Amino acid sequence: MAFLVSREHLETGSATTRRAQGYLRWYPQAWRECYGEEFVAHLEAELLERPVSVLRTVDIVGHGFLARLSFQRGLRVAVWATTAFVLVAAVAVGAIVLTQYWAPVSITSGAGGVSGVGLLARPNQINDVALNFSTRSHASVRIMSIAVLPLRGFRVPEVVGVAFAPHASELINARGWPVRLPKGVTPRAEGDTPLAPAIGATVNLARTNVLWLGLRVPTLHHAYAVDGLRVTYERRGVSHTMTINQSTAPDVICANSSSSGQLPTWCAQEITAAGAIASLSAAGNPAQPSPATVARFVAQLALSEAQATGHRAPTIGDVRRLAARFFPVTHGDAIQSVTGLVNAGKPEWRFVIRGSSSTSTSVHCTNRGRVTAGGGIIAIAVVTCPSQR
Amino acid sequence: MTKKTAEGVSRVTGVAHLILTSLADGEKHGYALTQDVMQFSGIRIAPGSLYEALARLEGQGLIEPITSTDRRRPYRLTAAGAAVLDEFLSAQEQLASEGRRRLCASWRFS
Repeated sequence: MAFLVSREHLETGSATTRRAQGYLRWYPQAWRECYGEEFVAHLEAELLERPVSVLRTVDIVGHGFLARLSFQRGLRVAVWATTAFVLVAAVAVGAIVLTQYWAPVSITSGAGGVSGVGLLARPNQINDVALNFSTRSHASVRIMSIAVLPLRGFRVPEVVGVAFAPHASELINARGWPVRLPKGVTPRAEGDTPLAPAIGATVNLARTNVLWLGLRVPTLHHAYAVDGLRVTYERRGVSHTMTINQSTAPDVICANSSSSGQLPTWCAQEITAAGAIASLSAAGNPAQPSPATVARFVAQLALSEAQATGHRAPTIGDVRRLAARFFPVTHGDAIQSVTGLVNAGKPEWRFVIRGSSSTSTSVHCTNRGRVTAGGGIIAIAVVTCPSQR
Repeated sequence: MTKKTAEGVSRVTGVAHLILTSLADGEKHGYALTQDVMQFSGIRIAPGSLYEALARLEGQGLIEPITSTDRRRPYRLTAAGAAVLDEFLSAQEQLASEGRRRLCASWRFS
């Protein structure tokens, strides 16, 4: 770029000229070749008149950049590509953040409960059942309601209270309701401190948490079960539902008038049945299993019950009663007969079970299970008979 | 207003019509332009905006540079530029006239 050295140029001084030439560098080469000289001359006059102006500097830099975009295609493409990438990334990050912001809490249900399984309770007594769950999210949620998940064939206990504790795992609590944690048990509930009610309360979730239910079982000689909890809660104004499931070991409470701590036989049988029902659900069977599946299952229950009451053979009536209780839709119509016999000194029963097709029948047997000296619970399976006639 | 004229007027933005107005009474270089605009309108055109507008008006054929031995190259209005400026000012006069009439009628301004 050539400059004509005029008197006026000399009079403006080299410092002003250098400043003007410095501003010119914001513009691309092609633009400088067209307008560079007059632009510098213009700036020299402006800088003498107003040495400092932030707005002027911003104006020159901005238009210099725009001129580069206009003259340099590669820069234009790079700027558009970068802008598009930044916008897409910002939208993606924003979507992820917003999604997580209102996302429900991710939980892991506790691996079976130790508190409350096989409880005896009088109808006027309130017992506690604890369900624990884990979460990686330390979120604040407001618990709106809870609902006990029923177990097929069992009654649902009355819920009289719900309490929450973070940082706690399940504990055996012998102090009834409201729950009081023993001294030194958790960092949050040291001492003989009652826990706060959970419904309507905002709670801060920790890595491990426990929900305690105060339950009443009003009808004597009946078994009540808690298979899990469905908790409705609010997080940042959005309602969610989480299920705390203890299907591997549902809590069973037997309403009994006796104050003895020993479980009666019927209650032990109910606990066995609860575990079997929970396993059936956990195995992925549909809500309404096939008649053959129902038949095999109730046969198992009948055998277990018969063993518990002293090796008597289950009758077709026993089977039908159990089927009506646990599978009221499909019933036990598939079991056509039950035959008790002794095989090599061991009790064995045979069930004729109708197959999945109404025209075919198949015969199923128990295996040769082990009977303890005290007539205790035996591991029994229903298998296909080795030979059929 | 014809379509062609409307296109010319629509192409003339704020800074550009100030430049055309300034050049209407004779050729000027950039610095003199900004001084003249400052004097008749009170608006200071920054150098970056000025030369961006000069480049655009030259590309549209509304002004043209004049060869000069001085570093500061003067510009002058072309016939097309004069026509565009004329249409623009007519539209402004019509707007001013109508606005004044309504103002006097409704607000009792004299």
